[in-house]
Order: sequence, then C-alpha cells, then structure tokens
Amino acid sequence: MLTNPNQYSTNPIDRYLEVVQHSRNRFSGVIESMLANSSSSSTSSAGIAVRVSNIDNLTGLASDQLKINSQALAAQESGLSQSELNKDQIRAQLELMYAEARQVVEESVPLSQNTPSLNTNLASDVSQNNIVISASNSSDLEQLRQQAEALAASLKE
Amino acid sequence: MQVPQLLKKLTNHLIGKSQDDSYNDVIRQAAKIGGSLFGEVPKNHNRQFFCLDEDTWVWHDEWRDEAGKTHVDNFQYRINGNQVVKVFPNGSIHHLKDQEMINFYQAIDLYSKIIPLQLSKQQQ
Repeated sequence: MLTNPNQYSTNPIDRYLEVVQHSRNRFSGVIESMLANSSSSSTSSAGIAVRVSNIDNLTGLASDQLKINSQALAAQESGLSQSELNKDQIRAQLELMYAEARQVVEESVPLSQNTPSLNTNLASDVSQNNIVISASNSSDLEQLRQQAEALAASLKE
Repeated sequence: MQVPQLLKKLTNHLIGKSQDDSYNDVIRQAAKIGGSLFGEVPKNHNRQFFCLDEDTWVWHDEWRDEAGKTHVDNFQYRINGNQVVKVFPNGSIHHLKDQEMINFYQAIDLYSKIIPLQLSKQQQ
C-alpha cells in the first residue's frame, strides 16, 4: 500500500508515523489548493476565503507564539534544566493549541456539515512533562498568549 | 535500540509475528485513537478513523441500535486528481467541499499530532 516501502523505517511505529505525515502533507496540499481556488472563483465561497485568510494570519501568529511559549514553558519547569525538557513534546503540544485556535476561527463561519466535527476539548486533555495547555476558546488562548509573553519578558530581564 | 523495543522485537520473533503483523497492530491502535478525536464515542459504537496509507484515510463507525440491529457507516477519503473524494463501499463517490472538507482537514491535522504522542506513550 505504500508508495515506496523501502523509504520508510523498519520500526512499525516510526514507519506508520512517516506514512501519516506524508499522507497529511499530500491531502493538506490538495485541500489548501481547493480552498484557494474556490475562494477566487466563486462569490458563494466568500466565507471560505475569509477562513483561509484567517488561517494564514493565525499561522504567522502561531509561529511567533511557538517561540515565546517555548521559552515560557521552559521557565515554568523550574525543577528541570533546558536540556532535560523534551522539546519535541512541547512543540507538539503548542501545535495542538495552534490547531485548536485555527478551529475556533473556522467554526465562526457556519456552513453545511456532513462530517462530525472535532472534539475541541481533546487538545486540552493532552498532558506531557507535567505541562498542561488548556485552551478551549479564543479568550483562553489570548490569556495563554499574554501569560507566555509575560514570562518571556521576564526571561529577558 | 532500547531494551523494551528489543524485548518486543524478540517476543514478536518468538511468537512468529511478522513486521507486517506489527505494522497492522500499530494501525489498529491508531484507528481507535483516531475514532476518539470526534468526541466521546457513544456506547455500543466501534468508531475508527485512521490513515491507511499515503493516499487513503478511513472512517468506520459500527453500532447496534436498541432493537439490536447493527449499523455500519464506512467510507474512505482519497485523493482523486486535484480533489479529495469520499468513496463509499458501493463504489459511489462524493466530492468533499466546504465545511466537510475543513472538518477533514482539521481531523488529519490533529491526527498527525495526537498519534505520535499516544503511540509513544503506549510504547513506553
């Protein structure tokens, strides 16, 4: 079923994760292209165009936020040195928060719905390294962002 | 290779479990986790959502109603040219668009972030 099984890891979990990542990238590319086309070709797709625009803005915001929050979270882990933190796990958590933020933006535009929507609380249930990120709505996210910025500022002082 | 992984590999070898079997086990675990991304799974439901291969994602929901009748909701998401389509067991095709497409996009995005965390937890 793989395009080229030889290019994947032999460890089953690693191999599957690589397949998932490749697939996600392929589908995302097609979907983003479809969204871009629909927003420019039809007036009825104005809602989608707004969404795409918002996603793009949020992507930029999230990139900065990731850097800030990485510092802030490291500071919160006072009992651990920076080298002891699992950066990948922290990054994954922050990306989850970003995904949830993006969902908040997207949910603001009502459209027909044929597929169950995501469990918005799931991301807030994920806990790694005793760090819990809880962001169930945009105000929570804003609060988190402000806290992260304050902590980052204190680090610089 | 870490000791737990080595032991698992040795155990698989002793019981004659092939790499393909192990890979399918991983997909089964991921499918169950994937099914939970859409909220609490109702009782009597066997809900799965997973990446089957690079070109295919699967939605499967099976449940029994109060009369004991079994219902199955099963389809695949595939890339067809420059579009994403939903393929039903009878071969019919539905083109994804609007909110359904957004939902699917979010689902695979979240899946690709949650699954590594959950699988690594189970591996430890």
